[in-house]
Amino acid sequence: MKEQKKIPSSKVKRASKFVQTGFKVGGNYIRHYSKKVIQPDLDRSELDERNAGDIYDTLSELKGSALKVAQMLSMDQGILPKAYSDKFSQAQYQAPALSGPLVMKTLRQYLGESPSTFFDAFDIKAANAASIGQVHRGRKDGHELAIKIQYPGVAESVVSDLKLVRPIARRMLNLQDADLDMYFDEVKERLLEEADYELELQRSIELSEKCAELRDVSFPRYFPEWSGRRVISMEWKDGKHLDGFLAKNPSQQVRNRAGQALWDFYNFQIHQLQMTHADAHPGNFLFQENGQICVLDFGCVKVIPQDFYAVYRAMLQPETLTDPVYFEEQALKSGIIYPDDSAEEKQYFLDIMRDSLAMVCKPFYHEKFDFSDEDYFGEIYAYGEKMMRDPNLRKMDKARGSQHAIYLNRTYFGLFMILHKLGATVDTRKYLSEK
Amino acid sequence: MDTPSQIQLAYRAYVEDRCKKPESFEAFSAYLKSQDIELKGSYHSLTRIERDIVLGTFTESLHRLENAEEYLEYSTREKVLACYYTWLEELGEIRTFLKVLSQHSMISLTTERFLKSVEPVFKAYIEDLLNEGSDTGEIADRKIIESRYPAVLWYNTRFIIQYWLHDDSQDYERSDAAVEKAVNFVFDLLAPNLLDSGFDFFRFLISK
Repeated sequence: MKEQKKIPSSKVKRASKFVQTGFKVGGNYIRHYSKKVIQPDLDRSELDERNAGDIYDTLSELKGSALKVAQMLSMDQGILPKAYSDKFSQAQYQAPALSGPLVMKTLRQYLGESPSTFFDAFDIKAANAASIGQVHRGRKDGHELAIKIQYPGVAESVVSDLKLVRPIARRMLNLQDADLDMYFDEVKERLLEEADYELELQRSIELSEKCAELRDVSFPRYFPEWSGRRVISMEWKDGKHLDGFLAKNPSQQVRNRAGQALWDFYNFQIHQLQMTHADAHPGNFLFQENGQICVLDFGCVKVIPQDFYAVYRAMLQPETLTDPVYFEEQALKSGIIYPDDSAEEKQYFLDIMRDSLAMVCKPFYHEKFDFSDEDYFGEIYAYGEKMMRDPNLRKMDKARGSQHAIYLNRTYFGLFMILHKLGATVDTRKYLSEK
Repeated sequence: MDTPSQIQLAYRAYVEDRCKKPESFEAFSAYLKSQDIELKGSYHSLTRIERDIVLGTFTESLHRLENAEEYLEYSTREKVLACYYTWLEELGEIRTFLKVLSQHSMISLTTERFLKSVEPVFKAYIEDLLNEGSDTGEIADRKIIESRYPAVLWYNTRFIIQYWLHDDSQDYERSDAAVEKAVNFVFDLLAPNLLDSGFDFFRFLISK
């Protein structure tokens, strides 16, 4: 009964975390105003700094979809605090394990027959936990299968979690409701899509067919006739997850091969298909000993609108940064600055954008990039920490940046993290110089 | 088909077709007569028929469980889960019927009369399971309150049925989650837990 012992942190507990922050922030105001009685000329900057700090501390303690949202919203601001990256691997909605009887019931419901008669063999013990369900092993008609089963009621839990995180995100980002909705709707849409197994199955088949030509990347075969609204049957694939793969000390050549496969997989989708697997999480890949990879999960897919893609692509080109007029034009198009911003505001956001782009896009500026570079990642973290505590950033009152960037930035961030862990050197210009 | 089953089927069809109960037992007997079905003294009240229909779903569930090979290998907790899932499937067959009946009752359906005939059967079934669970150590041996366990699970059952009746989620999946969570909660209470070690520690301290 081990699987049932994992009791997820309750909604109440998560809510109390937000309440605590509310108290802390409230406390900061009291401290601020009592100080102000003694020093009337005290300005707000210290207060803003304290608030930013407390909110940040709370967010880094949160798990589940609350963290995911907070993390993505902050990543969109070019902020990547180190504390987040440690939790990145856990940053998803974690459903509790399904009991054996529920597994049987769900399969019976969607396959129309008990799994013990439907499959030639079926293991009632889960082989793996997926974020919103679990994977069981089975066999039918000579096919070794991985059968993914979703926990009941996930979509509604996701929606209620989002409601929970909304007020704090609003406070953290200091946005108007309409602007916040723009980001929230994007996140909600993706999270709900993740809970839609029928869509996932369709996209898995579509993307794995379109990516079939890629070197060193493979996909499991999917079986729509043995799937349903909360069940996906796919071919069982052998291989190691990232940590297991690295534990065997693969050669640099093998690491590079795996890294290149990952790089090509993502950049081909983003730049050629304009539709991408948007969950660059190590758990979604299996690594073979020779460095080939297998992609497991198309639950989260971002379709990139044409006009947004044009701006995003421009941002990745080194020339953009050296041409101030063109740069400002792109910043305007992407909604980082607005025509009615004051000169000061414009300058502030252009500076942030230039600094963060120069840093984050560094791999795109070279033919080859060595992702094992500790200094590079250290620099990104340090910048992220600094920005997160920057009171000026919290003073902004408009949405800065397109909602479409949220999942793309997250994808690149995830990809960079895996490549860093692999210590791979990768040909990075490939998909940007083409087309 | 025996007479009571025939009458139960006719009653279900009557209620489901008209979306309402017969005015009286007499009105229903007249209807039966018009359908060439004889009462032969099997029933004297509508409530009795209703109770038997619900009881029928439960006994059918127990029958299905006994014939499922995986059931024998389940732990006590899993057996109870399997029982609820199977029963909800069976109740699903008469959901429209239950919904119509629940419109008629002032007090909530489940706490009312329809589950009454299930109660003794359920409690007897649970008692057997719990004894099994005590033997394997899955259920805590707590002398005085142990006898209350079947009652606790019966409350749990009423909660689940009530939840399911009001569930409007697709495929009633929220009810599935409710079953998982409710059963886990109850079994975490019934399993040896902090209470037992605390009580044991307390007894040790005062025993000198």
